[in-house]
Amino acid sequence: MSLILLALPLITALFAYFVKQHSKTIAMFGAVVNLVLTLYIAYVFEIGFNGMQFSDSLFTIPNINCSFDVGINAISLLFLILTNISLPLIIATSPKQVDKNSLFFALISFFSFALHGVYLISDGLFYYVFWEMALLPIFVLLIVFGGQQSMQTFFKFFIYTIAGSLFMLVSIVLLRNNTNGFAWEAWTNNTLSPTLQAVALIGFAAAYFIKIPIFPFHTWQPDTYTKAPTTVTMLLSAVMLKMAIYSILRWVIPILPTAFEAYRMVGLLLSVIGVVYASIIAIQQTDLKRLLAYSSMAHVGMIAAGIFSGSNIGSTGAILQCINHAIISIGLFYIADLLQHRFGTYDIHTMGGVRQYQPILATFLMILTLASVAMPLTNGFVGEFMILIGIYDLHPVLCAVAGLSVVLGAVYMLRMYMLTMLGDSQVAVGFADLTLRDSLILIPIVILIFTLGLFPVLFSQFLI
Amino acid sequence: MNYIFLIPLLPLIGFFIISLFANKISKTLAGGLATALVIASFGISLVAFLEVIATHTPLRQHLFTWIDVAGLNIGFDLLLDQLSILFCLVITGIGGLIHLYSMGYMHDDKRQNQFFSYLNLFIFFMLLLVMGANFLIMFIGWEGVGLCSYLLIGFWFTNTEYNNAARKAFIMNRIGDLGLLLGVFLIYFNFSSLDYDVVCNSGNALGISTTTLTAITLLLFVGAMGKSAQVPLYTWLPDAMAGPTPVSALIHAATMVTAGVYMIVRSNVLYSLAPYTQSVVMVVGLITCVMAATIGFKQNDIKKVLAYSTVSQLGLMFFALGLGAYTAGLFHVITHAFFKALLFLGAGSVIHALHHEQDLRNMGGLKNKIKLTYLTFAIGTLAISGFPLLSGFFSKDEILAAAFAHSPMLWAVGLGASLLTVGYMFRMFFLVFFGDYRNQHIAPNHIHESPVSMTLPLVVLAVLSVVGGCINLPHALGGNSWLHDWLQPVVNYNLAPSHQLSHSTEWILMAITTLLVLVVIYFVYNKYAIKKTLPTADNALPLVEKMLSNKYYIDELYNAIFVKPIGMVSTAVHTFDTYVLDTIMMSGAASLSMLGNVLRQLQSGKLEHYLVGMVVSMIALLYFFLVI
Repeated sequence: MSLILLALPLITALFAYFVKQHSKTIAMFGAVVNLVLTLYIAYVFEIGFNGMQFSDSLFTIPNINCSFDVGINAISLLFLILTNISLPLIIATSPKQVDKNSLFFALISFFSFALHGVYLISDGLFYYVFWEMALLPIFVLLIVFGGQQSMQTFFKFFIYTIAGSLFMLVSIVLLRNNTNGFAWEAWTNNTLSPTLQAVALIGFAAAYFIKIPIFPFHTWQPDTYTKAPTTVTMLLSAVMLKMAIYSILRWVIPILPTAFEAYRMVGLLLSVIGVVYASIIAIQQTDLKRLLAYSSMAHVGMIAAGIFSGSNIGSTGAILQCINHAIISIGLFYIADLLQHRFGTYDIHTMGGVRQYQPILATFLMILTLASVAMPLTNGFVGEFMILIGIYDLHPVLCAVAGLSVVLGAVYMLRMYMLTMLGDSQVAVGFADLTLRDSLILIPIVILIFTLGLFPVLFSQFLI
Repeated sequence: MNYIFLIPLLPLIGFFIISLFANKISKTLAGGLATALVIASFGISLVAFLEVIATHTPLRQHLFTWIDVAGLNIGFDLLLDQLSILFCLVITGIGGLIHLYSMGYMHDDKRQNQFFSYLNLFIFFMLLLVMGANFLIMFIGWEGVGLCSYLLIGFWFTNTEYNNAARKAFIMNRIGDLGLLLGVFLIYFNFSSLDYDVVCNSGNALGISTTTLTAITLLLFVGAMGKSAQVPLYTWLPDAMAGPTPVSALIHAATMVTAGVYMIVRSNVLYSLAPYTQSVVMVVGLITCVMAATIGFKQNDIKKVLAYSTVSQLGLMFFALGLGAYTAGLFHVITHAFFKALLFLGAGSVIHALHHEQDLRNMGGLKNKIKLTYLTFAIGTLAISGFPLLSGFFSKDEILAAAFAHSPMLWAVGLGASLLTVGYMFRMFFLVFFGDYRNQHIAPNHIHESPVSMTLPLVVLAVLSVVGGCINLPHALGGNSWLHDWLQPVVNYNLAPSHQLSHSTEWILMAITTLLVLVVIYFVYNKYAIKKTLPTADNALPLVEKMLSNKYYIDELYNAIFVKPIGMVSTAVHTFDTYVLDTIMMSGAASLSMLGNVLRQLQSGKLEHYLVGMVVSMIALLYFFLVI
């Protein structure tokens, strides 16, 4: 089953690329099939079973002790769900200009393949391969569809991520040499000395901190999110960075437990600083996408803080919040794009009056805004609530500091809403309200927001 | 069948129907539906009330499990006990009347249907707030009513000033909410539960250290400060008057702002065991009460006067809670809901008659022109002043008696604050209805009484303002203190300090209060009705009055020490992030990776190099492991 789940996106990518016509439809179809398959797996998933389910093995390379083993546990299941809920939405939101571009959709499907690999694989070597492979389509998408004038920004992103990956490589070598193989199982029984564990931890941390990003490794993020085509921004913020969160849960905590325990306070501290830091910056942003980029950084900082809290509640909240953040950020970036199409700019000071003339659009943005500021009954609340409880357990003061995002989030999101939607500006008079297509994308998002806000148990039950 | 879920559900259904079909249904249908659903909720609440009276057992309902993870189990549970059923009756009863009133008041607004959908949503959240069986369900309602308050303050969203007022309300409330949330966490870690049954249970609470209980109660009180507009988080409430007047009556006077009182009465066991917090609550309440009352004296906007009056009366309620007189505080919540809703709706009727005029200086002499409004407004003013035998008299008297039992000095300050109330309320009353007609824009014969949908609620509320005190008539006057006994299962009177006074002392206190109230009314009457004094122009005020008129410059202070600095910090941090941190990190990344040279070359070169580099490194890795 796991292999089918992994192979489908690759097949989709090939079809999308070579059957030039209808590549969007093909990509969409493939993504939906994978979603259905994932939901089926979730349905038959044995809750409470400690270990891999749906395990498969493709081949082994005996002389280096590595084998292509795939399987699903509760955590990877939730990240697979996240990926497969997000991708159909992202494909649906892709702009009309690329509708006929087979490369675009082939790359997204290929990206999906790499992500599935990361979430399914139980072998360190192939984990690294899939991790790097996920970058490739993003690179190509940025180069081909990102616009020449933004190359400098994308370089920065590449340098950062490559540097991070090289650090991770060191850790992988360390673990491989210690256990003489790549099996995840064997790595969890490694005999690294505390010092070497710490070194390995630094290697992983470099890659993951950059990818998430965690303060102060985030300086690639605002520019990249702002200048990338919105589809790529969504792929980065909704889907890709979650790989790093997953990796901490899967490849760091069980493998380097002593080192993680010893240093997680550093991670927690940096995450919490990042939450407040990004929130404060977001207050004065004028570019809608950049504002959302900093907002996203604040939210993922919160997610990371939940992981580093080391508590069960905190990390459960973090995993739920990964899914919630994906849904909300797809919606927010999509609306940012809709506004850009209408106003011709992302500058929020030139917007306004939408609430009066395009009430449906304004209503959707209101719901997304509320979810983003963690209003109870939306999905944004439950995850953040659990994360804060997790931090509180460890350090009440840090929890209060992280909790400032409750206030600051309201400050910058409501300012954004006021400037873009409210007021008596006449600029928006002639604009169209949402088309049927827009609504068909946003309605599922809103349904997910409230379903997960009311019944977070649907997902959290897997983590018991 | 367990039916209590219907109480919040009906207004929620109303919200969905009206907002989905806002453009397709008529104004009458939307308004009628919204009103009918709230009244239906009131009917069900009455049935539930009778059931609780008959059985003496709370009604409960478990809807579903909301959160269930690692020992944290929160049910979506409803609870109707002696405390919450009272709130349900007030919310749906007064809420229904205000819905009815809004059908008249908002009739000319082209977004009337949306208004009703928001009102229904508000009722839903407010009911959830009081009906939740644990602190987290309460928190849903708590945030939800804040949202509705935001939506309704900024209902006329083309006005930037209103939008700012809405935003201010939401953000200030959020500051309080953070405190509340932290308090909830602390409760969870000490009680391992958030259910009222577990937390508000003296057996369990006695096992927790006083320090912890003090921390919990202080944090919860921060939440109450925000929602119930106590010093220092009160400045949003006067600004909230930007919303339509029915909103001010319903949300910013009768119901939402009393949520803080509800929460403290709900957790009275914890408060009684935290004497330090009790003192803080008492002092904050008293400061708020006096400060807002003094400001109320110099406001010339009819709604602003009522807003500061609300802040002041809320302060009085917290004063009572701080004294441990929970029943007295709650009693005042109920009577205040009657007469303050009445006063706001009366003010709305005046504003309606004068075509959106809100300045007291442009009113005057309206008593013969809008007679019903005048009469009902008079009753409201008398009731809030504590005029003998009206509802406000009894609730205030109970608070003052509790203060006296605590210390005669506190009683004197409390009495002083209520006399201030008498002063500014009658100042407003006489400026509106007595003296000469002063409006330049509207001819006196163009002034009409409001339609019956608006006057009917006024009459009902006036009756309630008169007789509302009956629910807790003191023993000293031959009553049976029904409310006191009714709340026995919720309020732990054994832990709270006793406020027993001898009947003769109570009579003397009542006599003194009554006498002073009458004296103040006489002086104000003399000044504003006989001598027809008008408020001076703002720039000609002497220093002290100018300070009052400018609300002690608190808004300016907050702007200077919070709002502006945060903006500056934000810009500074952004500059740091873009120029300083980025440079450090980039050079760090470049040199640390030991590939600095390669990367620098690549940076100036072609992008393909990166991809080649990546592929090469991956192949190298594979090769490294496969061959070596």
